Amino acid sequence: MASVKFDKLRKVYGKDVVAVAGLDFEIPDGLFVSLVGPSGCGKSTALRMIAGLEEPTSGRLIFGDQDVTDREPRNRDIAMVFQSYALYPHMTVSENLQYGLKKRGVSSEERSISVKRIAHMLHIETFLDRKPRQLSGGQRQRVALGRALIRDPEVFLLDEPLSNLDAKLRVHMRAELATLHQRLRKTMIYVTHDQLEAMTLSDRIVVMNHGVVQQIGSPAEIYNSPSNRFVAEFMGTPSMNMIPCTLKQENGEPRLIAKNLSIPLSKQVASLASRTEVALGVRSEDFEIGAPGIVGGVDARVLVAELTGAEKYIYLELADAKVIARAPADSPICAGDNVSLSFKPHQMHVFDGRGDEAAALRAA
Amino acid sequence: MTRIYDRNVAEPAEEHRASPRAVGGVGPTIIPDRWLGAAMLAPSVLVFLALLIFPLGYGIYTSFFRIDTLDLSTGGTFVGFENYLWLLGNEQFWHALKTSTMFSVVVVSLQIVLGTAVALLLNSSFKGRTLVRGLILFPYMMPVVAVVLVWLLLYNAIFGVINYLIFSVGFIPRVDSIAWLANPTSAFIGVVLVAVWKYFPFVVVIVLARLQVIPQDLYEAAKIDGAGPISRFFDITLRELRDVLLVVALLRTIFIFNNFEIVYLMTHGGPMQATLTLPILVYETALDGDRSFGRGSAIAVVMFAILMCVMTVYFRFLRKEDQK
Repeated sequence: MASVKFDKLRKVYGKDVVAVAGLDFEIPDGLFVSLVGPSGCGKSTALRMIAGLEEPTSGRLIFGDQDVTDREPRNRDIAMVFQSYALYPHMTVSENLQYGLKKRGVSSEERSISVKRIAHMLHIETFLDRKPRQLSGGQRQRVALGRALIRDPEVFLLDEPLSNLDAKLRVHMRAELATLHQRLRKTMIYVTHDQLEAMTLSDRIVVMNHGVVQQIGSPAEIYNSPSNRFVAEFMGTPSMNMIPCTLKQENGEPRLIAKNLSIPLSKQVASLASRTEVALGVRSEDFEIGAPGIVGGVDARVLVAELTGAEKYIYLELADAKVIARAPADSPICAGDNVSLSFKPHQMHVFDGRGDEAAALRAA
Repeated sequence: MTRIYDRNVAEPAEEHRASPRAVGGVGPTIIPDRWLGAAMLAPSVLVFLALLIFPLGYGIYTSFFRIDTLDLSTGGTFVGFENYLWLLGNEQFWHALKTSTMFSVVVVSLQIVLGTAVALLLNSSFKGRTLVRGLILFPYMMPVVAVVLVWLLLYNAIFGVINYLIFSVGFIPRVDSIAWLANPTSAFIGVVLVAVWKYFPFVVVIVLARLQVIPQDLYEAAKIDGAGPISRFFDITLRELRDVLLVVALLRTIFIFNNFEIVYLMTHGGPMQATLTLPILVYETALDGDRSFGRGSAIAVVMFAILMCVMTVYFRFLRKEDQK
């Protein structure tokens, strides 16, 4: 069993293109950890460094108590599932599955037993003699998983393995991956730009941007207590609403002021702010929509009402910002309506500034 | 079929629906629809017939005649299979067939090995790669006559560069000059080398294009699976190149088997018929010494039949592979 420790791991391309700006954390043994972030954030580079496919510019990589920084990929006891599946096109499914074992000198009898075991586990027994091109996307995905599983490695690396599947199959395979992890309890490192996949699959999420780790935490921590504006906006669908506000003292009490908005703020939180230009973050489910003129509410105009099936997304104009609120699917609200918006007081997030790096102000 | 119309626009009545031709803006035409396809294909079919089928048919036709090339207007005398029977008993024909086969096999094999090796080299990254990739096409772009002249100078027994280099290294004493194209074995090797040098860039270009689209993921997956560089070459690179190499082998075989100019310009089929290939025999029989057009055509038809057999075997093999 192996934990994975990043010790100031850094990757710079050329002279000054920083892909990974120094990873310094540890993934405990047996956890499912997702590296999540937008394209170009360095998550795939980090994964490739773990695999040994990319050489770090500096820093160390430690599996358990072994420094593997300079080891060849084959000597790291890892397996990887690629976004493109990377199945050997001229080999049958069975040959694909046992290729890694063959290269490690495992006897043909043992290989054949392992293939049967994995094929049974992943329900791919019926197409062991087919070539990858004769399989559907989902079947290929299973074979790629099987190729990783058959060697029983210490660490599984998964590079956006579901991104080539259609929406329905993706949900199905997501559930299968979760089941597989519960069954194997091996360290799995999963790279994705899909925050929903990260939220649903992971024990821990590492949010990255511009090669820098923004926050590490459980899915609930990341969603409910984002460390900065980038994490708040990246995690969650729809994105967290951001309303630019000014922090002012009125009658000795700190308040967040915007166009037709004035919200009281705790003195403790206000004291943490380093500037007066701040952003108020509210998740779409933390708005309450009522009839116009309600006490404590703010008037807003409905721009669009979008039915998604189970609920409605209500797009509103509020204090010069466009925000999205959720409403029940049978809500009568439609475009052009005037409504009153109120906030759930304990679900508001205040960010110290308006850029991506603006830290969340949170009372201890 | 369910049609979707804009709900604000009434569905047009059947008689007012536009015909496809009207939609396309083309008015009534003098050619009825059922003949339109044939009419549009006709020019290409005519060109195909004139340039490919007619010469082929005429070649087969003349192979059944005795025709004196000095007077083609007479049409010749019909002799049935006499020309074919003649060539079956002709020792020179069998010798030329053997030489052509050997020449094709050796040249194509060397072209493929050298072309693939150079393509692999050019696929790796190094400074000045783009320039080298351009320069490698140089032999292929040179006219055959120029190539032959250059190589004849290189092979020259008295002032040739090859002999000079050998003398400089001291392999042979300066008094013995080697007449490369005067000895049957070295002449055959000499012509092979020129044919390889002239046409290997074709293999480089095709193989390099294929190498560039082999997904890097495959190599990375193999690395993780424990495959070393040699395993990766045989298990991935060569397997991925296999189809393209088969096509290249077929194309090069057809080309080299029919190649006339390099061998003729360098050795005229000599010395002692060491480089006498079938195309040269066709030329000599039909247009040079014998001036027997019918017999020359018979040899050409046999060459065509041999290549058709090779192609048939090849395509059957490919189909079988596809079905696997």
